[in-house]
Amino acid sequence: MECGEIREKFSAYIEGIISLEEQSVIDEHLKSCRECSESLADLRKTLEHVKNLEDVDPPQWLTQKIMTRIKAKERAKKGILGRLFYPLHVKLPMEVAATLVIAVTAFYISKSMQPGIDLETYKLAKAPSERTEPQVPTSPTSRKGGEGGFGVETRGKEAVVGKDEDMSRKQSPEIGGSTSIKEREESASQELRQGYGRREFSFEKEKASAIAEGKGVPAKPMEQEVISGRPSAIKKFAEAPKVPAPAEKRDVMKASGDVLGNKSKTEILAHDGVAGEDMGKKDIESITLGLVAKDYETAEKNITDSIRLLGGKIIKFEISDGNRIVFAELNHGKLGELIGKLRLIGEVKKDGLSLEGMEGDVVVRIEIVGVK
Amino acid sequence: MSNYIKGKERTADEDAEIVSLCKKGDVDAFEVLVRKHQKRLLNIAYRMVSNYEEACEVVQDAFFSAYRDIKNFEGRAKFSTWLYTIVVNLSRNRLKQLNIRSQREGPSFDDSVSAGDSEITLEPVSNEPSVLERLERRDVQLRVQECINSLDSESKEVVILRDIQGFSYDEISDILKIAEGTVKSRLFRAREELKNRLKKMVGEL
Repeated sequence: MECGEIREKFSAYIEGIISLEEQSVIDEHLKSCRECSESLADLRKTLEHVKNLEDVDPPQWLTQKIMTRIKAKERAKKGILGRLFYPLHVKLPMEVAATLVIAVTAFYISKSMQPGIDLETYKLAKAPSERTEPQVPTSPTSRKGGEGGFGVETRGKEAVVGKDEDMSRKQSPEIGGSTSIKEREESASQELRQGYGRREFSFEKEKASAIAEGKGVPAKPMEQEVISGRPSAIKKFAEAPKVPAPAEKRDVMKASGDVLGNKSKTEILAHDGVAGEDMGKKDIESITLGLVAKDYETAEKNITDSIRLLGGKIIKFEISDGNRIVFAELNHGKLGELIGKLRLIGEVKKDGLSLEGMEGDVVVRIEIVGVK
Repeated sequence: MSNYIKGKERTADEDAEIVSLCKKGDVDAFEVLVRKHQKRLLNIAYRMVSNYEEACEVVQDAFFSAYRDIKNFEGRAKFSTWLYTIVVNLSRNRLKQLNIRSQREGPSFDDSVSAGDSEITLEPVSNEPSVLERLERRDVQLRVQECINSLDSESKEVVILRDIQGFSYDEISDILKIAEGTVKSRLFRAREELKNRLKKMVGEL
C-alpha cells in the first residue's frame, strides 16, 4: 500500500473498526514510514483535543423556561377550549344555537303578526278620546296582505290615488257639486252599495280585480270610526244581512259609511252593476233619522242604550260636518219604539219617513244635530 | 471508545413509558425528559452554533417542538434520537440564520470572544491548579472550536456527534437520516480536514 491509501484508513484504524489483515499491513507500513507515523500521531492528538472539549452545563433556568413555555401554551389551548365549552363542553354552541332560535322565532312571530296589525285592529284598540281624529278604514285588500292596498289606505284621508277619487265621483252621480268631503262620503256610499248584500269573498274579488285593473283602492269616508268591541255586529252585517247573527269579519262594515246622505229616506241597497248574483236577495233597508240634542255625548250614549234595549246593535259612529252619526242595526218592528225613545232625548227629524213595507233588520242612521 | 460502545448497547427506548404519558397530556412527565436530555441537546447545539445563548434558544425550541409533535412520534427510533434530530436540524437552521446575519452586519469582533467567555464561565473547576495550564487549555479549546466551526456543515455534524458526543455510527445514521457508510466517509474526511486546520493554526499538535 502507498502512504495515501494507508492514511485513508487511519480513522478506522484508530477506532479499531478495521480488519486484522489491514491492521497488520498498516502496522508494517508505519514501522517503515515516518511521515505516516507522524500523520497518525497528529490525527490521534486532534481527536484527543476534540474529545477533551468540555461540556457546557445548561443554565438553571433552562428547564423552568422550557416548561413555562410549554405550560403556557397548554393553558392557552385549554383556556380557549374552556372558555368555549366549559362547563358543559357545549356552552358556546348551545348559546349560539339558542340565540339563533330566539332570533328566528322572534322574526317569524313579528312577521306573522304583522298582517294582524291592520288598521282596523289599530282602531279598535284606540281609546275613545281619539275617536274624533280622522280615520281611514281598511279595505279587504289590506287583509289579504296586499301591500299596495294597505299602503294606499294608511296614507290617511288625502292618500287616495287621483284615479280612484275620480272613479268615486263618477260612481256618485246623485251628489253633484258637493264639497270634497261629501264626494268622499258618496264614494263610500258607492262602495257600500257594492259591498252590501254580498258575500265577502265576492267583495274581495271585486276589489282585487279593481286593483288589477289599476283602479287602486277607493278612498274611504274620512272621520270614520269603528267602535271597539263591536266586531261581531260588523261581520254579521257583511256576511248575513238578512239573518242577524254574530259575525267576525269587519271588512265590509266599514263600507257602510254614509248610506243615504243627508236626505231622510228609505233606500234599498243593492249591487251597483256588479255581479248581480245576490241582487234583491240580501238587500238591507236603511233609514236616516235626525236628532236634535244639546249634548252630543249624552245623546250618543242614550241612543246606544236605546238601541241595545231594543235588541239592536251599534254598527259604528261617525262624525260628519260636525254632527255625530250613529249607525245601528235594528229590527224594523222596533223602529217605532226607537223613535219614541229618541224623542225623549231630543227632537226627532224623520222627514216623512215611512216604516211600511220594511222587513227584517234595517240599518238606522241617526244623525245627532246640535242645538243652534 | 467507551462512548461508542455505550451508544451501541442502547437498544430499548428507556423513555418510552414517559413518552406515552406525555402523549396523554402529562406535562410533568415531559419535564422529566427535559431534565434528562437538555444537557446533551445543549452541547450539540452549542458546538454547532458556537454560541451559548443561541444554543439555549435552540434547545428551548427543540423541546417545544418535541412536545408539540410528540403525538406524532411513532417510536420507530428512540425518543432521544428523535430529539437529537430535532436539535441538529434547528441548530443547522439557526447557524444559517446567524451566518446570514453576520454577513449582513459584517465580521463581528465579539463572536469568537463570546463563545470563549461562555465556555470559561461554564467550565467546571479544573483539577489542575496551574492558571497557565488552564489558560493554555482554554486557548486550545478555543482553537479546536474555531477549527470545528470552519468545517462545512456535514463534516461538523459528524465530528460533533461522533467525536464529541460519542454516538454510534448507527445512531448518527438515524439522527442525520443518512447511510452508515456515508457517516463513515464523511467522518474520516472531516477528521483529516480538522487535523490539517488545527495543525495549521497551532503549529505543533
